[in-house]
Amino acid sequence: MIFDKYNTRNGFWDEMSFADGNIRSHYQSIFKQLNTINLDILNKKEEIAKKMFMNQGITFTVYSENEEGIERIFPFDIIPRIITANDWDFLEKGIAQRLKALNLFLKDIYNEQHIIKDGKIPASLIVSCPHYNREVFGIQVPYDIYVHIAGIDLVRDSDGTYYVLEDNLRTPSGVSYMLENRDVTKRIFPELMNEYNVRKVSDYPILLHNILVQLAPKQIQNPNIVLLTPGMYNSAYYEHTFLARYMGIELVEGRDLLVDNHKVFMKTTRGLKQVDVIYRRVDDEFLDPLVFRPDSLLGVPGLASAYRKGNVAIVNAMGNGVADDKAIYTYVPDMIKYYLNEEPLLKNVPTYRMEIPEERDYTFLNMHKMVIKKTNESGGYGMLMGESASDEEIAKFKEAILKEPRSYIAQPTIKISTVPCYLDGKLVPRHIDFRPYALCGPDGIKLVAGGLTRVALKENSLVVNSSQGGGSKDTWIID
Amino acid sequence: MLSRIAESLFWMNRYVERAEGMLRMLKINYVTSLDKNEKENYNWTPVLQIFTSLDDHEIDKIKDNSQAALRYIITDKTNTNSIRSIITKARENARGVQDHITKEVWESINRYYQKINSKRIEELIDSGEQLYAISSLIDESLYFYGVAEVTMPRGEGWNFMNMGKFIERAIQTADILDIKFNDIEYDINNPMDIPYWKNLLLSVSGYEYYMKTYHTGLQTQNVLDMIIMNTDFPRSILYSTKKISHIMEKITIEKSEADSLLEKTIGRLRSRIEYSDLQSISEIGLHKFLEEIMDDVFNFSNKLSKVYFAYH
Repeated sequence: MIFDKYNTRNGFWDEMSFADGNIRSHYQSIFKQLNTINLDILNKKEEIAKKMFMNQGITFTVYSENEEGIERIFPFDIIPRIITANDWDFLEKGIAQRLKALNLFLKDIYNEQHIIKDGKIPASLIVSCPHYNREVFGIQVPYDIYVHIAGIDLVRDSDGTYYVLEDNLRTPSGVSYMLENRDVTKRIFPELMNEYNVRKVSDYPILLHNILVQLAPKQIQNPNIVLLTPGMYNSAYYEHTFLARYMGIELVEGRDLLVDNHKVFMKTTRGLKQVDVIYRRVDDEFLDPLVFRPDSLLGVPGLASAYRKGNVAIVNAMGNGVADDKAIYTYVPDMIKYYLNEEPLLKNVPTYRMEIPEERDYTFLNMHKMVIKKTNESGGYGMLMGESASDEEIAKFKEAILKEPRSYIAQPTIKISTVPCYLDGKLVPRHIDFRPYALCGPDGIKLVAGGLTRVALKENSLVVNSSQGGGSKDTWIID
Repeated sequence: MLSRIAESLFWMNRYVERAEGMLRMLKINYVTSLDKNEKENYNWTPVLQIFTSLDDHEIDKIKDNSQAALRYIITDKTNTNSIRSIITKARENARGVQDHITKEVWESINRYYQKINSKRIEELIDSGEQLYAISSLIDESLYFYGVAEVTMPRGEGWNFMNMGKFIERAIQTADILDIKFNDIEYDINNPMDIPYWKNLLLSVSGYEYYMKTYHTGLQTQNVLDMIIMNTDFPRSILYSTKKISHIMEKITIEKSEADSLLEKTIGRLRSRIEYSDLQSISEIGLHKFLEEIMDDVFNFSNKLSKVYFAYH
């Protein structure tokens, strides 16, 4: 037995192993296989995986003080993370419920605002949100869908309960890694894939493309759909080319588009061609310099006016940031009760809002047990892990919180679960989260059975973001 | 096709072609600099004048030092016209159009970029392996063109790639000719013999073809004939011009007004070269003739980018 010493971390849920060392049933085959495999062969598999990523140029760009960004591969751990069909079916229902409520919330908040009038969410919380976008107030979007793509971040606490950490309703990324990771696993572990019945993920680009086609303002046979990228210096540029290629749509930059008479056109060698649907990977504030940041070169002047007239569909809708603000996140369970009259299936992480004095006082007394986050940041930026923070860092954050209480929230540190990773010839536990991708179109909400499992590769680290040394794993939903 | 994509493909190939032309010139000059009777007099001034924007004073500092001159022209990052800068630009253009070129084309330009950016090339130049350094870079160009030829689907993108290649080549050939004939004051009756023309012919990879094709007559005039008007010689000005006009026909399927204007512009240039002979060139003056060709190609290229690449 090469891996007879897989030691789980005390007090954490491990996806493979019980605390007493027994292996959970859905991991038994893979554990047996790994234990009989020759280490040289395992190392070779790891080598093949690395080469596949490298040769395909699956890289992201890390910016440092040097003038040029460095292209790196996103570290990949070869051992798949397994989720049972039971768990998945529950998560799927929970996510669909959440997304339904969030779409209703966005329609409401940009139109009648019943939820405020009924006193369920304080108006001050909405108006103070920097992502509440007055420019799109009253705009009618096709089928009342605002969130077409959500990348919901889930974690598991020490008793195995799933929690929603973030909803990511703006331009969630990482889906190309979900697809590439599966391709690599098929290459290196075909025999394991045979043994398990793994649900497929490969339909994602087709499902997304179907939704984009249905959103075209006019009922035409071949709507012109484009993917709007900030350009090749963006860290997710690889993913943008990947998705454009798989959906067979044009990858455009802001400078390729123009707006004339409230219609959007792309500049081609055969003149102007009208654009019907834009899957944008550019943030709201850069989309239209006429209404948002005037210094933005990434967007298209006049785009918001074409959108308002209904001449172009934009995916995800403009203004979604208000629904994934971390302070407004607190209210998602209330939204579910308010709009759907249902009990929330998925749990929120308890969240303390720093503008409420009692909650702030409580947080200040318990800083070491808390994670402090900025309400409008993502990607692991603007975050303090109280557990490992120095007194100096804590003092700094307290000061910042007192200055702008609305911009911060606190959450108790979740003891997020671990999975076995193959690192340096050993099987070791590392902390993970899980981001499935949900698609919402006129026919309802669909999820491909899988998602991106992000891994904190540093020992004992709870931060999984790729900018902070995280990697990823293929994720299997098994029947 | 998006105008931006077409423009990037066009420039990707223009840059690769430019680098290749430069490398061939460097190779010949380097080889010459080693010959016994050239050694004492040889310096890099003319090459530095053509390929860099250094002033006379700066040129004087490195003109007698092959290593310094080659490092400046090939690997210097601060020189915006160095091979390294040019290939970096070619690769940046390719990077922005990855979903419009084949994986193999992307990998070959990426390989070229990795090579020119590696320490190895500088080490070779510093260690007396200059010739090997230059040759191995020329190989990358050839590999790139070969891979493109074999893997790229024919269509708009391919046409714009070739347009870039032949526009660059036409300009470069005319430029080299102009500089070389400047030395003999554009006298097409000058009785200079083969040894004088050998370098020019080698730098456009035409030496062997020349020796096989031209047996009688005044060498100076034969050289002109081949490099300007020979239709079988792939680096002649006429060959490139014919290619350009051929590609133009493929690009302009719809025949808009702007399209036919472009076709006319290149057609005029093509027939001017076709119906020229040494006597008529001599009457206009060789320098003027070459200058007009370059102007016409530039002019055509500008019109082309206005019609197809301009962001209206």
